[in-house]
Amino acid sequence: MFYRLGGKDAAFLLVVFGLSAVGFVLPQLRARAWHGVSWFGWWMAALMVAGPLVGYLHMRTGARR
Amino acid sequence: MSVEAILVGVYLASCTGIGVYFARRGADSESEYWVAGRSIGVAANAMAIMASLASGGSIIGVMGLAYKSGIPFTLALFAGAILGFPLAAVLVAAPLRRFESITISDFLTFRYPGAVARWCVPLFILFSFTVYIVAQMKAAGITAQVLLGMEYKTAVTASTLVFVAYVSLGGMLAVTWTDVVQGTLMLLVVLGTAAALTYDQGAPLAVLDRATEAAPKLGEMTQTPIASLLGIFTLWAAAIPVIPHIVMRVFTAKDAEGARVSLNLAMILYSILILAAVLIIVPVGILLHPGLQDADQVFLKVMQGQFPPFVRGLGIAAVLAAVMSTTDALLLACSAAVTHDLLGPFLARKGERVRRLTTAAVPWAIGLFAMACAYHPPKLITTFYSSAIGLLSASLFVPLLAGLWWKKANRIGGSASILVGAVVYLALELGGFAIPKFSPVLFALAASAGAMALGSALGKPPAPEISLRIERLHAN
Repeated sequence: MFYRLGGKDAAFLLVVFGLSAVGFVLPQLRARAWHGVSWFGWWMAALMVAGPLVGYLHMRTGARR
Repeated sequence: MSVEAILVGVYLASCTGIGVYFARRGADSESEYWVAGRSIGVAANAMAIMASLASGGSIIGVMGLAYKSGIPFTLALFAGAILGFPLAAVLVAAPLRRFESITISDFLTFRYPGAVARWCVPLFILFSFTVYIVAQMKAAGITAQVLLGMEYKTAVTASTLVFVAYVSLGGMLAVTWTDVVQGTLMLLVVLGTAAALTYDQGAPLAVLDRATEAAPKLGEMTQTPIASLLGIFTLWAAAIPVIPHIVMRVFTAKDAEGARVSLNLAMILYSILILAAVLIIVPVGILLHPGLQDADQVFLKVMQGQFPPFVRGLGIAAVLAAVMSTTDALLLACSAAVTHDLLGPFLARKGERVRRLTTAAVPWAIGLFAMACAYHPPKLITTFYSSAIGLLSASLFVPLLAGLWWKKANRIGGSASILVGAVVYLALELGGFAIPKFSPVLFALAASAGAMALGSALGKPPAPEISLRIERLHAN
């Protein structure tokens, strides 16, 4: 039914968007703050750092479908 | 003449020079003009993609948004944009690059033959990108107004004339190489400003403590509904794989692998730029310039108050670079929507001379129309153009992904998906419903996916030649 997506590519997308989803569903992240900024903000900042780096390593270490 | 004005003059002259330099090659063929002859390497393409996305919205607008709506909301928007890159790199870049077309409409018209993909897609692009261009022009205008003391309309007019000139002359080659220069300048100025402010004001976390103490709204998010946060995140994550000024970069790459890697590299550069702006420069802006009427001016006020004329000149050039690097790519994508997608078959019958004249004239028509609109600017530029981009996310994301990956996607499903996504988005966005801001895209994407599934179940399977070609796009 679908064209086949490689296992590494699928895993990469699942991790990135799974972690994003955690940021939206955990109310604790919105209720607490660190240095005045809610944990949700820091979670998004962490995703902005980790997503690109993991993505680049993924592309450079033989991501193939 | 002031140092700032000289630096800005040198910058504008350089951009025009690049356009003139590439004018002859751009005129050689459609492929040279629209997709730079598919010859751009990974590093240059990554910097150009970053510069195209990092608009006036990403320098002026991102800081204005963080200043007014807080850091968490702003980072939700930009995390969406940044995480849209893996979607684009993994799901779109390689197969679409192998399709060897010029615009996203080419692919959608092939995959879903019919009037909807043929006419609606370029018209949506034209509408959304004209709004996007107007927002960028505001950023150029207020920058020159605040830092050079120039009249707002004069600044908008001058920057418009320069970028329209080099787009119409040099096409994608000129746009790409000016974007490389502009992206480098942006990174230098934003990171340099962040470093200088850290040296002057103290460690970023200590400054953040002081800023959130003075203005607790900066770090809070209790006032923002979760549907708005999810909406703005999804809007941009779904936009990156489909917005034409990014997709056209996929077609300029030398090969499919180069397209994937350059998208990821661009994501890293963009992330660095946004985090430095939001977490380091905005808190200083809150402390030094509280209560600004126009939040979009926060970066300019920091530059004005903290730095000598030479650095301010670089700052103005960087903001103009941010504006122009996006606006030129938007303008090229808009022009492609008109010249290649809408008028393409007509121009093919009229001969080479008419094609060249139209190709050069269309950017002027769009640029001058947007300039006239920008004389009466919107309030907060990032939210203004995000709403327009939502139309493209809502109408193109599902059809593009389904067209590339779902074997059963057919003409009825694709056409219904494009139309339903757009209609639901526009109805919810403009209909005055009591729903959280930016949430319409969530409903529109769901409706678009539903229309795709239903239409494809009811319609005939795609023609064998379409299935065969899509099959080949997935061959390693």
